[in-house]
Amino acid sequence: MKYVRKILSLLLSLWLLLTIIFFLQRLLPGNPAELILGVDASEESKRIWLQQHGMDLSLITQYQNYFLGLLKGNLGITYFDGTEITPLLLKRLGVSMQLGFFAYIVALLGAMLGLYFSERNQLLKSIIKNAAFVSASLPGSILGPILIWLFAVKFQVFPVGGMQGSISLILPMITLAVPLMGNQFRYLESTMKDISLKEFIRVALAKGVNEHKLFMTHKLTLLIYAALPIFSLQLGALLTGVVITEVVFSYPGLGTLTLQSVLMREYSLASACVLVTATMYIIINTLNDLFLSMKDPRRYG
Amino acid sequence: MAKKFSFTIIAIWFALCLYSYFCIAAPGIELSQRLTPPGSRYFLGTNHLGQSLLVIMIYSLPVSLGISLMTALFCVILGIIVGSLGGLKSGIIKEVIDRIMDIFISFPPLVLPLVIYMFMGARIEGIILALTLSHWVPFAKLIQNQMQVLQYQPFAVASKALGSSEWRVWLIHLLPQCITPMILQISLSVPSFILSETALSFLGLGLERESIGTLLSDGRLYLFDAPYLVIFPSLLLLLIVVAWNTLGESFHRS
Repeated sequence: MKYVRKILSLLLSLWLLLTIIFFLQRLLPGNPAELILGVDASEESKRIWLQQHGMDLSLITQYQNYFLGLLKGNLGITYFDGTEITPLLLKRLGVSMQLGFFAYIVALLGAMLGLYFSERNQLLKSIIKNAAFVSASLPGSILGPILIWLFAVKFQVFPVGGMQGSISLILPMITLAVPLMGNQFRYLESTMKDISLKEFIRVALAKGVNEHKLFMTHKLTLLIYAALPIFSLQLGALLTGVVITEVVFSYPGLGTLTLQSVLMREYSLASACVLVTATMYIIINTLNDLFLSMKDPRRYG
Repeated sequence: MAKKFSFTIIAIWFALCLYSYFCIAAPGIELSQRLTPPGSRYFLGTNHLGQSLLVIMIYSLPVSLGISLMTALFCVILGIIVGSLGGLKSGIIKEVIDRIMDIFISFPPLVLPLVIYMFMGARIEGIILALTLSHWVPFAKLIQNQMQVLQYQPFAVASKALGSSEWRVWLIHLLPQCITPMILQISLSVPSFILSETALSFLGLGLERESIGTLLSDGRLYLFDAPYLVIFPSLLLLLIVVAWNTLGESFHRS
């Protein structure tokens, strides 16, 4: 019942989202035909353009067509040159997801590693804690240019931007991963404090388990559980970060596509990008919720 | 110690913002002096238009302060209205409010600013609206939780029993109890307002006027010749955000 309710609310959110986006796109100021063909275009050519894009029909019919198209996975064509949006988006989405995925993994590993070392040594602990505090508030718009300056301009180890093989993934990935890592570390560290007070840890210590093994076998399992809910908290930061990082490194992902289309007033592409991003966000969040409530029905009802 | 330090930085920031808003005009363009490295004449060097980086950095400060303060104000107002309704009313009103909050949470943070930019262009109202709409839900949830607990506390029940109207109980007994958690929430949110504003102007979706974000995105193009154009604004922004975060953290702990 609980799951049915979650899925219904997911469908409701998705429907609302695409309805809002559809009507916003139609309500945007200005006639799209005028925007593309210029103000001086003849009435006849404007009419033909609207007909080609199916915009001469009534709003309800257009909405119907849009909805049916979406069900088939068809996002329509761009205003400017009439290319199909779906394949373009899928290609860009793949690039962005690769970047986001690797960055998230790196951030998680980094946070775990930081935790492991901060358990061992007090000095190291305070260093890592402060570093995490600063890095949590280090946005891509700061870190990106500074990394480019250091590693691409001064030492020339990595390319400045663009996508030339897997080496150009490294700097964007670090840019994206560092703030996430700081946040994760801080979250995991406070969880770790709770875990360390548990009785089985004390028992294990009393039995004489060494610190390394204590961390690996006893604490890490609980920690991984604790790390799951922050995924949905960080997803928003990850998506924003992806856009900024891609712009900084001129990385051809979904973020640059979205931004370009918004700035160029290519509204059909922009709304498709927004729709895809928000849909992904909503679906991932719901899946994460469902997973958590399956694992721990008490806390995530 | 850290608290005092961050408090000082924030106070200086406020003062600088006020000073810059009232006393500093946009520095003039002097193309003959463009990209001068930091030195005795221009303390932090000049940018691609020959404007002194120090002056333009101070000139650009009030944007993020103004936008963050306005956003915080609107978030608080919206949070109080929606949160009180959701916390004190029951039945269909609460259900609708919960749904609305769910929907707003389910938008990724950058999406609303993009959509609003498509509608309104680079206007200050648009930016404040976008930031408010993407940040108000935690405020409303906070008020809602407070109200749900507080309305059954003895002082509220007693006041109602003595014949106070619902409005009076809300205004005099319930709302003041929300001030402290609200201040905490504001101090935790301001850094994210500042960073969002910077991100928007960095992406070219912000105001026409210079802000730290536009300084960063302009400076980025001259990384080879003038890396200081990125480094100094970055350090300034980082200092402000870290100071706010430290302050929020110390509020949170106490």
